[in-house]
Amino acid sequence: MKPKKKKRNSMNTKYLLIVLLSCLLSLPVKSQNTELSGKWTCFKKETEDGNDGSNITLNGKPYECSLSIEFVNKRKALYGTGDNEPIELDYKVKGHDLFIGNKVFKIEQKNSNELILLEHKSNDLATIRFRYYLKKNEL
Amino acid sequence: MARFHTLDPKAETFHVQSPYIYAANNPILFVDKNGEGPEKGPFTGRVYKIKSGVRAYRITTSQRAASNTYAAAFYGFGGPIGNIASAVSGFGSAVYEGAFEGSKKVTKELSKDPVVGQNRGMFAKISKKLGFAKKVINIGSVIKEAVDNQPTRQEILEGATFEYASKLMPDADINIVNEGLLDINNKDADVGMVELGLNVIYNTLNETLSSFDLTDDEGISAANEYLQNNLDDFLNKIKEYYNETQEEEKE
Repeated sequence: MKPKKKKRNSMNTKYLLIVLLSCLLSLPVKSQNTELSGKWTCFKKETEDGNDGSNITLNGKPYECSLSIEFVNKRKALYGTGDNEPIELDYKVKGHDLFIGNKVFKIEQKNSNELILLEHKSNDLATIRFRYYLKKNEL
Repeated sequence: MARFHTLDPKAETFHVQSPYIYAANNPILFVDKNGEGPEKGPFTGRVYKIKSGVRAYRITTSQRAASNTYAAAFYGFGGPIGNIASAVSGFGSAVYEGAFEGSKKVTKELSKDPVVGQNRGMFAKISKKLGFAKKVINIGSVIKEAVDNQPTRQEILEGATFEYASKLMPDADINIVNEGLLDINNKDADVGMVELGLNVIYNTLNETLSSFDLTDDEGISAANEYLQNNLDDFLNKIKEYYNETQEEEKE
Protein backbone atom coordinates (compact mmCIF):
# COMPACT_ATOMS: atom_id res chain seq x y z
CA MET A 1 0.00 0.00 0.00
CA LYS A 2 2.73 2.36 0.92
CA PRO A 3 4.41 2.49 -2.52
CA LYS A 4 1.03 3.26 -4.16
CA LYS A 5 0.56 6.31 -1.92
CA LYS A 6 4.04 7.50 -2.81
CA LYS A 7 3.25 7.17 -6.50
CA ARG A 8 0.03 9.16 -6.07
CA ASN A 9 1.90 11.92 -4.27
CA SER A 10 4.45 12.23 -7.02
CA MET A 11 1.66 12.32 -9.63
CA ASN A 12 -0.02 15.14 -7.70
CA THR A 13 3.23 17.09 -7.58
CA LYS A 14 3.64 16.65 -11.33
CA TYR A 15 0.11 17.94 -11.98
CA LEU A 16 0.73 20.87 -9.69
CA LEU A 17 3.92 21.75 -11.50
CA ILE A 18 2.22 21.54 -14.88
CA VAL A 19 -0.65 23.76 -13.72
CA LEU A 20 1.80 26.25 -12.20
CA LEU A 21 3.91 26.33 -15.36
CA SER A 22 0.84 26.83 -17.55
CA CYS A 23 -0.27 29.72 -15.36
CA LEU A 24 3.15 31.34 -15.57
CA LEU A 25 3.29 30.96 -19.34
CA SER A 26 -0.15 32.43 -19.80
CA LEU A 27 0.77 35.58 -17.87
CA PRO A 28 1.26 38.57 -20.20
CA VAL A 29 4.99 39.09 -20.66
CA LYS A 30 5.86 42.74 -20.92
CA SER A 31 9.25 43.37 -22.44
CA GLN A 32 11.17 46.56 -21.66
CA ASN A 33 10.52 47.69 -25.23
CA THR A 34 6.76 47.75 -24.80
CA GLU A 35 7.12 49.57 -21.49
CA LEU A 36 8.77 52.41 -23.37
CA SER A 37 5.88 52.76 -25.79
CA GLY A 38 4.47 56.20 -26.42
CA LYS A 39 5.95 59.59 -27.15
CA TRP A 40 8.57 61.11 -24.89
CA THR A 41 9.65 64.71 -25.10
CA CYS A 42 12.86 66.10 -23.64
CA PHE A 43 12.44 68.95 -21.17
CA LYS A 44 15.97 69.16 -19.75
CA LYS A 45 19.47 68.36 -20.90
CA GLU A 46 22.59 68.54 -18.78
CA THR A 47 26.04 66.99 -18.61
CA GLU A 48 26.66 63.84 -16.63
CA ASP A 49 27.87 65.89 -13.64
CA GLY A 50 24.77 68.09 -13.67
CA ASN A 51 26.19 71.08 -15.55
CA ASP A 52 23.53 73.07 -17.42
CA GLY A 53 26.05 74.03 -20.11
CA SER A 54 26.31 77.76 -19.40
CA ASN A 55 30.03 77.46 -18.69
CA ILE A 56 30.62 75.07 -21.59
CA THR A 57 28.77 76.44 -24.62
CA LEU A 58 30.47 78.97 -26.88
CA ASN A 59 27.67 81.51 -26.34
CA GLY A 60 27.54 80.92 -22.57
CA LYS A 61 23.89 79.91 -22.66
CA PRO A 62 22.49 76.80 -20.95
CA TYR A 63 21.57 73.79 -23.02
CA GLU A 64 18.14 73.55 -24.56
CA CYS A 65 16.67 70.23 -25.52
CA SER A 66 14.56 69.61 -28.60
CA LEU A 67 14.66 65.82 -28.62
CA SER A 68 11.59 63.63 -28.90
CA ILE A 69 11.37 59.86 -29.18
CA GLU A 70 8.18 58.04 -30.02
CA PHE A 71 8.35 54.29 -29.48
CA VAL A 72 5.80 53.12 -32.02
CA ASN A 73 6.05 49.39 -31.32
CA LYS A 74 8.60 46.85 -30.09
CA ARG A 75 10.99 47.64 -32.92
CA LYS A 76 10.25 51.00 -34.47
CA ALA A 77 10.72 54.46 -33.05
CA LEU A 78 10.44 57.98 -34.41
CA TYR A 79 13.43 60.10 -33.39
CA GLY A 80 13.05 63.85 -33.76
CA THR A 81 15.30 66.83 -33.13
CA GLY A 82 14.49 70.49 -33.63
CA ASP A 83 12.15 71.24 -36.52
CA ASN A 84 13.41 68.27 -38.51
CA GLU A 85 10.97 65.59 -39.61
CA PRO A 86 11.26 62.69 -37.15
CA ILE A 87 13.27 59.77 -38.53
CA GLU A 88 11.89 56.24 -38.28
CA LEU A 89 14.51 53.93 -36.83
CA ASP A 90 14.84 50.44 -35.48
CA TYR A 91 15.65 50.31 -31.79
CA LYS A 92 16.23 47.73 -29.13
CA VAL A 93 16.66 47.56 -25.40
CA LYS A 94 19.27 45.26 -23.96
CA GLY A 95 19.55 45.28 -20.20
CA HIS A 96 19.59 48.95 -19.27
CA ASP A 97 20.84 50.08 -22.67
CA LEU A 98 18.73 51.60 -25.40
CA PHE A 99 20.21 51.22 -28.90
CA ILE A 100 18.72 53.58 -31.44
CA GLY A 101 20.31 54.67 -34.71
CA ASN A 102 23.99 55.26 -34.08
CA LYS A 103 23.38 56.21 -30.44
CA VAL A 104 23.39 54.16 -27.28
CA PHE A 105 21.78 55.44 -24.08
CA LYS A 106 21.74 54.03 -20.59
CA ILE A 107 18.20 54.04 -19.20
CA GLU A 108 18.88 55.53 -15.79
CA GLN A 109 15.30 55.89 -14.69
CA LYS A 110 11.93 55.05 -16.12
CA ASN A 111 8.49 55.36 -14.67
CA SER A 112 5.12 56.05 -16.23
CA ASN A 113 5.83 59.76 -16.64
CA GLU A 114 9.57 60.25 -16.79
CA LEU A 115 12.46 58.73 -18.66
CA ILE A 116 16.08 59.63 -17.93
CA LEU A 117 18.70 58.68 -20.51
CA LEU A 118 22.46 59.00 -20.19
CA GLU A 119 24.32 58.89 -23.48
CA HIS A 120 27.14 56.42 -23.86
CA LYS A 121 30.51 57.63 -25.05
CA SER A 122 30.07 57.95 -28.78
CA ASN A 123 33.63 58.93 -29.64
CA ASP A 124 36.99 57.70 -28.38
CA LEU A 125 38.02 61.24 -27.46
CA ALA A 126 34.71 62.22 -25.88
CA THR A 127 34.86 63.45 -22.30
CA ILE A 128 31.42 64.99 -21.87
CA ARG A 129 28.19 63.00 -21.83
CA PHE A 130 24.65 64.31 -21.91
CA ARG A 131 21.84 63.28 -19.60
CA TYR A 132 18.37 63.74 -21.08
CA TYR A 133 15.18 64.12 -19.06
CA LEU A 134 12.07 63.21 -21.01
CA LYS A 135 8.44 63.27 -20.02
CA LYS A 136 5.69 61.19 -21.51
CA ASN A 137 3.21 63.01 -23.69
CA GLU A 138 -0.38 62.78 -22.56
CA LEU A 139 -2.62 61.13 -25.15
CA MET B 1 48.55 53.33 -43.99
CA ALA B 2 49.37 56.98 -43.47
CA ARG B 3 50.12 57.79 -39.87
CA PHE B 4 50.90 61.04 -38.14
CA HIS B 5 53.09 60.72 -35.12
CA THR B 6 53.68 64.40 -34.67
CA LEU B 7 51.81 67.61 -35.29
CA ASP B 8 50.90 68.00 -38.92
CA PRO B 9 53.75 70.16 -40.28
CA LYS B 10 51.27 72.13 -42.32
CA ALA B 11 48.91 72.74 -39.42
CA GLU B 12 50.20 76.26 -38.91
CA THR B 13 49.66 77.08 -42.54
CA PHE B 14 46.13 75.78 -42.50
CA HIS B 15 45.47 77.37 -39.15
CA VAL B 16 44.92 80.79 -40.67
CA GLN B 17 42.75 79.88 -43.61
CA SER B 18 39.25 78.57 -43.60
CA PRO B 19 39.65 74.84 -43.92
CA TYR B 20 36.03 74.44 -44.76
CA ILE B 21 36.63 74.77 -48.44
CA TYR B 22 35.76 71.51 -50.03
CA ALA B 23 38.32 70.23 -52.50
CA ALA B 24 36.34 70.59 -55.70
CA ASN B 25 33.46 69.02 -53.84
CA ASN B 26 35.40 65.82 -53.54
CA PRO B 27 34.93 64.15 -50.20
CA ILE B 28 37.84 61.75 -50.50
CA LEU B 29 40.61 63.64 -48.75
CA PHE B 30 42.75 61.03 -47.14
CA VAL B 31 45.95 61.42 -49.11
CA ASP B 32 47.91 63.29 -46.48
CA LYS B 33 50.67 60.67 -46.22
CA ASN B 34 53.57 62.83 -45.14
CA GLY B 35 51.81 65.71 -43.49
CA GLU B 36 52.04 67.89 -46.59
CA GLY B 37 48.33 68.06 -47.23
CA PRO B 38 45.42 67.99 -47.65
CA GLU B 39 45.77 71.19 -49.55
CA LYS B 40 42.49 72.74 -48.46
CA GLY B 41 43.04 72.76 -44.70
CA PRO B 42 42.82 70.66 -41.57
CA PHE B 43 39.12 70.06 -41.59
CA THR B 44 37.83 68.58 -44.81
CA GLY B 45 34.10 68.83 -44.30
CA ARG B 46 31.76 71.47 -45.58
CA VAL B 47 28.98 73.52 -44.04
CA TYR B 48 25.76 74.52 -45.71
CA LYS B 49 22.33 75.89 -44.98
CA ILE B 50 19.38 73.51 -44.71
CA LYS B 51 15.71 74.14 -44.03
CA SER B 52 15.94 73.56 -40.27
CA GLY B 53 19.25 75.40 -39.77
CA VAL B 54 22.81 74.55 -40.76
CA ARG B 55 24.43 71.22 -41.55
CA ALA B 56 28.12 70.31 -41.39
CA TYR B 57 29.29 67.30 -43.35
CA ARG B 58 32.39 65.17 -43.04
CA ILE B 59 33.36 61.83 -44.53
CA THR B 60 33.70 59.18 -41.85
CA THR B 61 36.28 56.42 -42.06
CA SER B 62 33.74 53.76 -43.01
CA GLN B 63 32.15 56.02 -45.60
CA ARG B 64 35.51 56.81 -47.14
CA ALA B 65 36.50 53.16 -47.25
CA ALA B 66 33.14 51.94 -48.45
CA SER B 67 32.64 54.66 -51.04
CA ASN B 68 35.99 53.74 -52.51
CA THR B 69 35.05 50.09 -52.38
CA TYR B 70 31.95 50.97 -54.31
CA ALA B 71 33.94 53.11 -56.71
CA ALA B 72 36.42 50.27 -57.17
CA ALA B 73 33.65 47.85 -58.01
CA PHE B 74 31.84 50.31 -60.19
CA TYR B 75 34.80 51.77 -62.01
CA GLY B 76 37.37 49.02 -61.52
CA PHE B 77 40.90 50.22 -60.78
CA GLY B 78 40.03 53.71 -61.86
CA GLY B 79 37.58 54.25 -59.01
CA PRO B 80 39.70 54.78 -55.92
CA ILE B 81 42.67 55.93 -58.00
CA GLY B 82 40.40 58.48 -59.59
CA ASN B 83 39.17 59.51 -56.17
CA ILE B 84 42.73 59.98 -54.93
CA ALA B 85 43.79 61.74 -58.09
CA SER B 86 40.89 64.12 -58.08
CA ALA B 87 41.40 64.85 -54.41
CA VAL B 88 45.07 65.62 -55.02
CA SER B 89 44.54 67.64 -58.12
CA GLY B 90 41.49 69.38 -56.79
CA PHE B 91 39.54 68.54 -59.91
CA GLY B 92 36.26 66.75 -59.64
CA SER B 93 35.60 63.81 -61.88
CA ALA B 94 32.87 61.42 -62.79
CA VAL B 95 34.32 59.09 -60.19
CA TYR B 96 33.08 61.47 -57.53
CA GLU B 97 29.55 60.49 -58.45
CA GLY B 98 30.46 56.85 -57.93
CA ALA B 99 31.97 57.59 -54.55
CA PHE B 100 29.01 59.69 -53.54
CA GLU B 101 26.58 56.95 -54.58
CA GLY B 102 28.64 54.52 -52.54
CA SER B 103 28.43 56.77 -49.53
CA LYS B 104 24.66 57.01 -49.89
CA LYS B 105 24.34 53.23 -50.16
CA VAL B 106 26.48 52.78 -47.08
CA THR B 107 24.41 55.25 -45.12
CA LYS B 108 21.27 53.43 -46.18
CA GLU B 109 22.66 50.07 -45.16
CA LEU B 110 23.93 51.34 -41.84
CA SER B 111 20.72 53.09 -40.95
CA LYS B 112 19.10 49.67 -40.80
CA ASP B 113 21.41 48.58 -38.05
CA PRO B 114 20.49 50.26 -34.77
CA VAL B 115 23.20 48.64 -32.74
CA VAL B 116 26.45 49.09 -34.54
CA GLY B 117 26.01 52.38 -36.30
CA GLN B 118 28.54 54.03 -38.51
CA ASN B 119 32.24 54.20 -38.15
CA ARG B 120 32.49 51.23 -35.82
CA GLY B 121 34.27 48.51 -37.69
CA MET B 122 31.43 48.01 -40.09
CA PHE B 123 33.57 47.86 -43.19
CA ALA B 124 33.55 44.08 -43.64
CA LYS B 125 29.80 43.99 -43.19
CA ILE B 126 29.24 46.85 -45.59
CA SER B 127 31.52 45.35 -48.19
CA LYS B 128 29.73 42.03 -47.87
CA LYS B 129 26.38 43.69 -48.17
CA LEU B 130 27.48 45.56 -51.22
CA GLY B 131 28.92 42.31 -52.55
CA PHE B 132 32.31 43.69 -53.40
CA ALA B 133 34.56 42.32 -50.67
CA LYS B 134 36.27 39.70 -52.78
CA LYS B 135 36.91 42.09 -55.59
CA VAL B 136 38.51 44.62 -53.29
CA ILE B 137 40.92 42.15 -51.73
CA ASN B 138 42.61 41.60 -55.07
CA ILE B 139 43.00 45.10 -56.36
CA GLY B 140 46.44 46.05 -55.19
CA SER B 141 48.10 47.96 -52.41
CA VAL B 142 47.13 51.47 -53.48
CA ILE B 143 43.48 50.61 -53.48
CA LYS B 144 43.80 48.54 -50.33
CA GLU B 145 44.98 51.70 -48.63
CA ALA B 146 42.12 53.66 -50.12
CA VAL B 147 39.61 51.22 -48.72
CA ASP B 148 41.42 50.71 -45.42
CA ASN B 149 38.95 51.07 -42.59
CA GLN B 150 41.59 52.19 -40.12
CA PRO B 151 40.90 55.84 -39.31
CA THR B 152 43.58 58.39 -40.06
CA ARG B 153 44.58 61.02 -37.50
CA GLN B 154 42.63 63.57 -39.47
CA GLU B 155 39.48 61.45 -39.48
CA ILE B 156 39.79 60.88 -35.74
CA LEU B 157 40.19 64.60 -35.13
CA GLU B 158 37.23 65.37 -37.38
CA GLY B 159 35.07 62.87 -35.48
CA ALA B 160 36.15 64.40 -32.18
CA THR B 161 35.47 67.87 -33.58
CA PHE B 162 31.84 66.92 -34.23
CA GLU B 163 31.62 65.33 -30.80
CA TYR B 164 32.84 68.50 -29.03
CA ALA B 165 30.81 70.73 -31.34
CA SER B 166 27.69 68.87 -30.22
CA LYS B 167 28.56 69.85 -26.65
CA LEU B 168 29.81 73.40 -27.25
CA MET B 169 27.59 74.71 -30.03
CA PRO B 170 24.02 75.49 -29.04
CA ASP B 171 21.44 73.38 -30.89
CA ALA B 172 24.09 71.14 -32.46
CA ASP B 173 23.45 67.44 -32.67
CA ILE B 174 25.25 64.60 -34.42
CA ASN B 175 22.82 63.03 -36.85
CA ILE B 176 21.22 59.85 -35.48
CA VAL B 177 21.66 57.99 -38.78
CA ASN B 178 24.87 59.39 -40.15
CA GLU B 179 27.76 60.26 -37.84
CA GLY B 180 29.22 62.31 -40.67
CA LEU B 181 26.52 64.94 -40.27
CA LEU B 182 26.28 67.59 -37.58
CA ASP B 183 22.95 69.42 -37.57
CA ILE B 184 22.57 72.82 -35.99
CA ASN B 185 18.84 72.90 -35.37
CA ASN B 186 18.32 76.62 -35.40
CA LYS B 187 16.93 78.48 -38.37
CA ASP B 188 18.95 81.56 -37.41
CA ALA B 189 22.25 79.65 -37.32
CA ASP B 190 24.93 81.19 -39.50
CA VAL B 191 27.13 79.10 -41.81
CA GLY B 192 30.18 81.29 -41.16
CA MET B 193 29.86 81.01 -37.39
CA VAL B 194 29.51 77.24 -37.59
CA GLU B 195 32.59 77.03 -39.84
CA LEU B 196 34.50 79.17 -37.39
CA GLY B 197 33.43 77.05 -34.42
CA LEU B 198 34.35 73.79 -36.13
CA ASN B 199 37.74 75.08 -37.22
CA VAL B 200 38.53 76.39 -33.77
CA ILE B 201 37.60 73.07 -32.17
CA TYR B 202 39.58 71.09 -34.75
CA ASN B 203 42.67 73.24 -34.40
CA THR B 204 42.55 73.26 -30.61
CA LEU B 205 42.20 69.48 -30.55
CA ASN B 206 45.05 69.09 -33.03
CA GLU B 207 47.30 71.40 -31.05
CA THR B 208 46.38 69.96 -27.63
CA LEU B 209 46.88 66.39 -28.77
CA SER B 210 49.90 67.00 -30.98
CA SER B 211 52.11 64.62 -29.02
CA PHE B 212 49.65 61.72 -29.08
CA ASP B 213 49.51 59.03 -31.74
CA LEU B 214 45.79 58.96 -32.41
CA THR B 215 46.00 56.06 -34.82
CA ASP B 216 46.93 53.75 -32.00
CA ASP B 217 44.58 52.44 -29.28
CA GLU B 218 47.03 53.28 -26.50
CA GLY B 219 47.55 56.74 -27.94
CA ILE B 220 43.80 57.36 -28.09
CA SER B 221 43.35 56.16 -24.54
CA ALA B 222 46.19 58.38 -23.30
CA ALA B 223 44.78 61.36 -25.24
CA ASN B 224 41.35 60.80 -23.73
CA GLU B 225 42.82 60.66 -20.25
CA TYR B 226 44.74 63.84 -20.93
CA LEU B 227 41.59 65.64 -22.10
CA GLN B 228 39.66 64.33 -19.13
CA ASN B 229 42.28 65.62 -16.70
CA ASN B 230 42.61 68.97 -18.46
CA LEU B 231 39.04 69.47 -19.61
CA ASP B 232 38.56 72.96 -18.17
CA ASP B 233 41.79 74.22 -19.74
CA PHE B 234 40.89 72.62 -23.04
CA LEU B 235 37.41 74.16 -23.10
CA ASN B 236 38.75 77.57 -22.06
CA LYS B 237 41.32 77.42 -24.83
CA ILE B 238 38.59 76.76 -27.39
CA LYS B 239 36.53 79.68 -26.09
CA GLU B 240 39.48 82.08 -26.03
CA TYR B 241 40.53 81.08 -29.53
CA TYR B 242 36.92 81.35 -30.75
CA ASN B 243 36.44 84.83 -29.30
CA GLU B 244 39.82 86.05 -30.58
CA THR B 245 39.13 84.78 -34.10
CA GLN B 246 35.67 86.27 -34.05
CA GLU B 247 37.14 89.67 -33.04
CA GLU B 248 39.78 89.42 -35.76
CA GLU B 249 37.15 88.68 -38.38
CA LYS B 250 35.08 91.66 -37.24
CA GLU B 251 38.10 93.96 -37.60
